[in-house]
Amino acid sequence: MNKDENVLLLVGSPKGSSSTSASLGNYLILRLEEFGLSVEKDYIYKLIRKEEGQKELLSKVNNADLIILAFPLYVDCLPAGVIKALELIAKHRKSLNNTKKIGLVVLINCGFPEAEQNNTAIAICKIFAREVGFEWKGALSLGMGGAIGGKSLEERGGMVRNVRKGYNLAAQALVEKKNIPEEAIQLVGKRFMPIILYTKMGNLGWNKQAKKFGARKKIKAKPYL
Amino acid sequence: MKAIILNGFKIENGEMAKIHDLMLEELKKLNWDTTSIVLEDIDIAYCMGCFGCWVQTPGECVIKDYEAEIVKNLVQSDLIIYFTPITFGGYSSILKKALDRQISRVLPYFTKVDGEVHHEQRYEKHQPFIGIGFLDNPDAEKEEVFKTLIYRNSLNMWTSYHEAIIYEKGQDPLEFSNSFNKALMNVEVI
Repeated sequence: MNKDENVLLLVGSPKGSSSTSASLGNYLILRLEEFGLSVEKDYIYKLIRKEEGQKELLSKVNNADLIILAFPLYVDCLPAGVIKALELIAKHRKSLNNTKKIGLVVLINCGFPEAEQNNTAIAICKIFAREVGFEWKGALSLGMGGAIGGKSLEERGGMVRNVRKGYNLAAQALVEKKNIPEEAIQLVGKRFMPIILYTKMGNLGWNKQAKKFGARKKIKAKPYL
Repeated sequence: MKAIILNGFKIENGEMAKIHDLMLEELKKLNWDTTSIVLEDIDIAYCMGCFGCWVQTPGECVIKDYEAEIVKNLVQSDLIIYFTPITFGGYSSILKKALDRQISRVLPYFTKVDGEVHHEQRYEKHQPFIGIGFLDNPDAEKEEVFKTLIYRNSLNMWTSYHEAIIYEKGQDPLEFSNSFNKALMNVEVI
């Protein structure tokens, strides 16, 4: 990429800056900045709520040469706010006569241990890219997102070394105007702990959180019956 | 027997209004007591991703709005139907807004089913589930992704039966009625 080209990171988690999506996005844009690229960052759930923000979103998209879309898996696909943003972008792009080629990279994470559970959401993003004429650069798909828990990848240390390696490779490729390499996809998708350990820790974590709210004993409640 | 339709369409779509009427007709013929919720009419908040519905007020979202009524209907229904324009292969944002807020229907705990991890079920009832998607133009890729999404949702939401029905713009409504009726007959068998 040339240094005068613009990169836009759109964080699609409703948790905004404290989300795992933001951590992953931040790691990638730091690498891109090290290559001298300028990156702008914004939060989809902040932008889509009001007309003014929606206009801002569309203007930022128009100015971008590469968009990095980072979001968590919600109910097997994209969170509603991210779909709303994509609907707005698609409608707007259809109304434009001359549109420049914009690259799209997806950074997705899910709370399940298997990164493969993100596949449907990635397929949806790919169709979006096709429909609006964006250039599909690839997706980095991560499972066990709960183990990152919104912390930076540096803070998570050796456990996520393969994720960092994969992201470093992806940054290098994007700078060289290439697609995300298969090696990067494989590294990011690698399980960074045994599934049994992740699920056990996760289940204990839910109990701990419920206890904090005084809800431990009613965690299996069945309202509305 | 209760059925719920979550309608993720823009109200002005006349062709879809017609299909919606056909669905109601078919359901009535088979004695389903149907509640159809037109989501565009309703102001509900976006899910905040706080997991309060799992650890703070288990089974109920911490945001108090009409979504509580939607979840109540989902829990009490014997058949769940999603009705949506196929949006890049998935659901419209209008429908998805309601779906993101109903994860309280499962528990936070992880469990393995057929070698894959899912959340445990909160309720014993396994409901049948039909996803109906509207396509503006024929698009095999979108169809495939939509069908996969319905299948994935059926796994993660513990349904007893799932079916994805695609309606293409301009299609013979009778054809749609037949497919829908066939799915309902399958549901009856279950």
